[in-house]
Amino acid sequence: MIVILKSDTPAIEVTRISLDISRQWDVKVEKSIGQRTVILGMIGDTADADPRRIQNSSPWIEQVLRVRKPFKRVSREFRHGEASTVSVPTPEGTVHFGEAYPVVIVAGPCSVESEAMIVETAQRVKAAGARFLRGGAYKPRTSPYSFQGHGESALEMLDAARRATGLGIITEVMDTADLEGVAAVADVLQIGARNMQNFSLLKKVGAQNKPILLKRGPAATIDDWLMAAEYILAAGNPNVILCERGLRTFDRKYTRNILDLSAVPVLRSLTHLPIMVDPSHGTGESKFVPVMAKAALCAGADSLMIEVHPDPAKALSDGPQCLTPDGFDTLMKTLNALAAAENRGLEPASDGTHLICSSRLLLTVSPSQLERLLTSPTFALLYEKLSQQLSTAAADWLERSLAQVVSGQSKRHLLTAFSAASRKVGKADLQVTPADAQRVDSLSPGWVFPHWSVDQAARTLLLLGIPADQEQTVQMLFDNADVGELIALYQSLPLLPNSKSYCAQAVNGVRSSMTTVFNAIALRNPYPADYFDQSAWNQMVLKALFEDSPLFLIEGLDRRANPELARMLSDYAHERWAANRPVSPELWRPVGPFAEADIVADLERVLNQPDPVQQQAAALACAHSPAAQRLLNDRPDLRQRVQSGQLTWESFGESFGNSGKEKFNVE
Amino acid sequence: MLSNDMWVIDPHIHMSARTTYDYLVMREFGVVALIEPAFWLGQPRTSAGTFKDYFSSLVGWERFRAGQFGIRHYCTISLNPKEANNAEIADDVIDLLPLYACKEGVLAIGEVGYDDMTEAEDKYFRIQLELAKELDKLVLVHTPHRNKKAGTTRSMDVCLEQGIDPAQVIIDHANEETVEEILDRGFWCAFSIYPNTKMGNERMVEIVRRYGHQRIFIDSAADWGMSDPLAVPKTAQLMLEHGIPEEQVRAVCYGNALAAYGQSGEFKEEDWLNPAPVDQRQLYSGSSVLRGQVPAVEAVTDSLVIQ
Repeated sequence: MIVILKSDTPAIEVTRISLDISRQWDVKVEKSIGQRTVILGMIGDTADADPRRIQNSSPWIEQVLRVRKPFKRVSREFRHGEASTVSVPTPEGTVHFGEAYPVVIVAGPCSVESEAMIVETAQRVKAAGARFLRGGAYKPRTSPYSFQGHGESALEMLDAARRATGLGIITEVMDTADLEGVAAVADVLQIGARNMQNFSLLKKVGAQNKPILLKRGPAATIDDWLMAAEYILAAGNPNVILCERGLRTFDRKYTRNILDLSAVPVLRSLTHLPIMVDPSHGTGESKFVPVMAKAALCAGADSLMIEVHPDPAKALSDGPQCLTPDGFDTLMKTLNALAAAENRGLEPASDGTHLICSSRLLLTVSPSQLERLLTSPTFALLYEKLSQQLSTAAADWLERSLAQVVSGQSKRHLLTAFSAASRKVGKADLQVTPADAQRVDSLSPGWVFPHWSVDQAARTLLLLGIPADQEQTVQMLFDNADVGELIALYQSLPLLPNSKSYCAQAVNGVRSSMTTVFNAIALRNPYPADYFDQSAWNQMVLKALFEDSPLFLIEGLDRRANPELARMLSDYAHERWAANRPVSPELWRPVGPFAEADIVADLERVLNQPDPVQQQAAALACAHSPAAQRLLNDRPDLRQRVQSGQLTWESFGESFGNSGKEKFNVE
Repeated sequence: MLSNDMWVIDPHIHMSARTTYDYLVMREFGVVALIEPAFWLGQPRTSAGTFKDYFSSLVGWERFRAGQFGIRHYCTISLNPKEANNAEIADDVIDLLPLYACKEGVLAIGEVGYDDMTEAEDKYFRIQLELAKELDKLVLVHTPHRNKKAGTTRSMDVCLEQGIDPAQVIIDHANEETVEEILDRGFWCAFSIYPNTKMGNERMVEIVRRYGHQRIFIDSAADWGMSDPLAVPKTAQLMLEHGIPEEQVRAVCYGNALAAYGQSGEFKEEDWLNPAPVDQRQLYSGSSVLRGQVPAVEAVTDSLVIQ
């Protein structure tokens, strides 16, 4: 029997209801947390339990249902229709088996023959896109005189292949006595078809932590198979993958077994567990494997297991059903295209440099969304830089988070991923080469990011991944942001779709008393020059002076200069002079082109100050001023330096003291 | 009067209620990091929106403000016990918590616990303990000022009932009457040095003498009341003067808070000793102070002239 709780049930209520039910009906209560609801499963004798009484015991209970199937924990009803996921950590990140994830490819030989052979096979199948290596150490053979597997020494060879390639390992455990040794190497333990109903083995693997691949017995009904899985779950291990591998029937003339592909949709309706198909055993003939692999993918399998041998003719076991590595390469290309067409994608090898094109993003992304991302050169560039710089674990996190954000399935996920970015990817400075800077210039003139850190870049990618119909969540991010998030948000503005719509937000951001947030908008950001109206622009420039922020880092400072700003700046200079406070020499930069009457007098005053820095600033301003140029007649030395290009506002800004190169990460 | 050559952490202080001048002086007297637990503002709030802005200021403005003075600012997030009694808004505030609890520098869920020990307080205390478990967060428990002994016992009972590891829980505002039970049950035991209503620091010296320095640390709990933002450095000095060994003083005023909250993975000595370059650019102006230069505070205190 299962108890479905309302979606907003407080955690404390969940605990209370579980305790009540367990006490009152003398059953064990198992909690499973789905995306939408919490479900309490009652395990034990529930014949006397009265659904109506349970229903009335708390207003938080949505529904009480009897699970009528003989299998309980594995049934789909037990999770109220929601699929489960088996997540397996591998040396190259966690791989997820399940309906909501891309198809995982498992490949390798029937049995491990030598270290060189298994490592070579592993390298080939990894390059083609497999995430797991299969290979038997202990082999169940029909005849006691056939090759029985290399046993313990084969485990060491598998371990060597794991270390050499980073692939996860799936291998069979035949005997409870070998369990510990096999589990030390395997990432997933396989229970072979012949052992499907070895109940003492099932109980043992159920009592340990490694995920289990449960192959279907050659003559097992679906109910037999699910009851076998129930044994494993009942013993405490929820991570079971079911693998269809063909049935023994009356006709063995042309294929070794009959691959029961209808089991895939049938299982889908009966159980929440992930489903794998093994077309190699299913047909026993390598020439039939590719087409049945394709069919299995289309039938909805979550994973495929394909036997690959470097030289099938010399294989010690199952040679006739093994693909060659070349044959596997070709099959993988077809499967990739097919997975994309099925809107599913293949779980890609975690090779950072190809992430951008990886089919993982195809998962649940519509073609237009995908196109938007892939054609965005800024997205591509940032992704590439991060892929080069991040650790495997961090890159894997980012990739998964992006896939989830792009799919638009969970707003909560975006919010938490955005917050967690600095913790997950770290805060190192983004390493940018001069070539990157050039590329940026051609991609998005005025956009600069040499001062970014990796967490800022990761946050920008997450923002760019937000689907077009969810743009309102950007506002939520602004509303709840911490300092680092605000900085990333404002610096990303020029890159966002519908950039212009955030203008009021940015103008408001300029009012921030957090200097660094102000700087994120005002400095090295083309956004204000592109979108602020004159009054907001002028306030921003003035505030930059108040905050001691270097003006030469303001994008579009010359382009957006205007007479009103010149007047405001001149007034400000007079105020500072009156208070006997220093005036930033950069103040005169936007003033020059609009200098008239009184302002020309200001420039003359500055030109005659003893400080050479002030004099240089005045000279630069005069050079850009039709009305004040004549003042330079008395200063031929300065005029010459301006005219020769030795003295420019940029070089000047960088060299005079207040900018603090270190503070602003100026190269 | 005070020497400032010892670094201290104030693991409980409500800076939103303090002035910028306090930051200056605190840094002058060796406070390198502080933790600001979410609490109430002296009068009841009337909408959940004001909580949101308050939480935002804890992870935004206050963190920035502290960083300007070379102090690293961290916080804890919660619906406080007093306002758990406001049924109108409590649930909405609970919904806000996950949005903030995972942000950078949020070390724990807290202050949670009891004020009047009402049913509503109990409910929201437990809900927040569940949240802490779900998000793998530490817990900071405020023990009530009235009926303290019973309230402290019950707070710990509830933490254990909810399946929280005592090593992940800081029980704050302890006193002579509660210290023994807190330590015996394996929780962290924090004392708030706060004039008149909480601990005095001469009493604190006696506590350390009697109970040692394991799992004990002190804070100021300074807020908008008659409190002292220098309570931690002053108590450190007093302990030294009373002959408490220096390593014990360091543990009680720095090391233990670091160990307790360091379990979050968000609170590391490196944050103030060797901050990430991006933090130095954006958040934290502390490095120059730590390199031994003279803080600006003397200029402020010694001169009549304001420029």
